[in-house]
Amino acid sequence: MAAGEARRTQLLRGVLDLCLLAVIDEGPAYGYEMTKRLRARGLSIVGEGSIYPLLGRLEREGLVETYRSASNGGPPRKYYRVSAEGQRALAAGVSEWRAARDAVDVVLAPVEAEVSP
Amino acid sequence: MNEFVRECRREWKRLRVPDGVADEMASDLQADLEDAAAEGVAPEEVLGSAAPDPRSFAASWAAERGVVSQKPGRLRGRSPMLAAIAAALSIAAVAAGTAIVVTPTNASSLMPRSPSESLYLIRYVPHSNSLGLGFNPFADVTPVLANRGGTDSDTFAWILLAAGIGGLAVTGLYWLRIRPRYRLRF
Repeated sequence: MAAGEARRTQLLRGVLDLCLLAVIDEGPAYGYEMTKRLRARGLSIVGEGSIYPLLGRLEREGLVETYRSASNGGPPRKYYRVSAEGQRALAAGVSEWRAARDAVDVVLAPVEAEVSP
Repeated sequence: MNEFVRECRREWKRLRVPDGVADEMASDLQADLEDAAAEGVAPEEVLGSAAPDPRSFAASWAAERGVVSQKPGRLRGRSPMLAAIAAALSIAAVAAGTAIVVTPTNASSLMPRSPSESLYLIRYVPHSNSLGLGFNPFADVTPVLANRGGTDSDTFAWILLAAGIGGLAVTGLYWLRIRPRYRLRF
């Protein structure tokens, strides 16, 4: 794995749960629908961890609730929606992310980064 | 059923995930992969880095959901210490047995320790008319005066062997007690 990809993976590993909660917060969704929403926002999980174990953890921690419902005429699917606890966790997590991001931006600001084509 | 999902089902069965839960997970995964394929989206977009390894993916998903049966893992945390004790006792038993077998005399020794300083060792002395057996079990029993050095090693060896066998027995009983229904799964 190239150094850039490894760093991206490390960064995403710390915030993918927040990203999932954020896209679920748009409206109840099943697994594939979440990956579509992430991709629409410019975040592809190719090469990253799968969202299914992460959804399992979010469910186990009570941050999302689930229910089964028919989807577009197909078989019943498992839908996820953010719980009240999940809302609080999302808000706190986003706040932490922004604080960390801003601090890192200050440190890296003097660096002129050029990405070779 | 998609091959990836089929492999996941095998892994869940191995992990003793309840059938209802495994059915639900397989159904959802199958439906997601079919939707992605219908839209021309590669499985990697749905599965991420897990795409080439269905067994790890299935195990990870089941573990995060908390639906893996605890029974196969009951030994975790306990087995290293128990295994170390059993290994030590096995080595002791083997060492003692080896020491007994390779002692200079080719006969067994009885070592009733006498209160006196001298140690009387009763040995079965190989008789010239050995009947082709290497020794004659009906030969005269000849008391032999032996020094303390030789018999101490025999004593130690027998004690070590007894301790090793006794310890292995206790370890085995303990193992059976904590794992009453252990069975191999492939």
